Amino acid sequence: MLEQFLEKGDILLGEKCKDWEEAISRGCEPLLARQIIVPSYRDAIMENHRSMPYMVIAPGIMLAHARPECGARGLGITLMTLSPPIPFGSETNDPVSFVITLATPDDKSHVKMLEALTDFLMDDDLREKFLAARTEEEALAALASASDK
Amino acid sequence: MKILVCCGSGLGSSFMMEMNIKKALKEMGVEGEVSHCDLSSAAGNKSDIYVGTRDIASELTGLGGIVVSLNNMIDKKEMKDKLAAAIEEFKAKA
Repeated sequence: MLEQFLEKGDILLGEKCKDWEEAISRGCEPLLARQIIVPSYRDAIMENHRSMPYMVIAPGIMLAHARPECGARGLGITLMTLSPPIPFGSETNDPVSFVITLATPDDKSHVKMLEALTDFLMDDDLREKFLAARTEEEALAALASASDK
Repeated sequence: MKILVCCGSGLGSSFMMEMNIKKALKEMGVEGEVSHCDLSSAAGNKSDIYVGTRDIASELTGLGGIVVSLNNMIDKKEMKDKLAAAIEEFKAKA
């Protein structure tokens, strides 16, 4: 189901980033390019993370997002894997190898997308399959198989 | 029984946890009202059980409810076990 929210280029695989700031910037790029978010949104994500690393929601997984009023104009999501993984300053969940960047224009528009994301993340087999993907096609195939279940 | 799930912005991880908690309550056959909000609104939203990821949970103590702290938000077992323990504690207090 999640694949229906992704445009071409929203899956970034095996990215090399020098630190968490660069990783957040990289994950925002496709959304910036389509003007789903403006630069202030990316900056707000970094600000959020600096104040508390709570967005590292599970071992190795960062859910990068800010509030709509910080500069989100539309609904969007990017999925990025990091190779090698990078420390994000989380006491229990470092290092991060998977950065999910979310944008929603309001408090409600992203409900279906979050449901799809939750289903995907909580399925260990599918998540592993996605993380092992080498091409966008393989990654999309992993996501699409989630909706068959 | 009121359960409030909190995160920094009130629309990402808290929303996802709310979905999971609703599913878990259903599986456990427990009635409960579940909602989510951002951390700054938590104090004004009196609840019996507060849930947050580890960093958030430390800010939720002192609000007068039972606090559930999750290390791994997508670990269904951790969530279910800790939620069940919190519900028991709530029942014991009631």
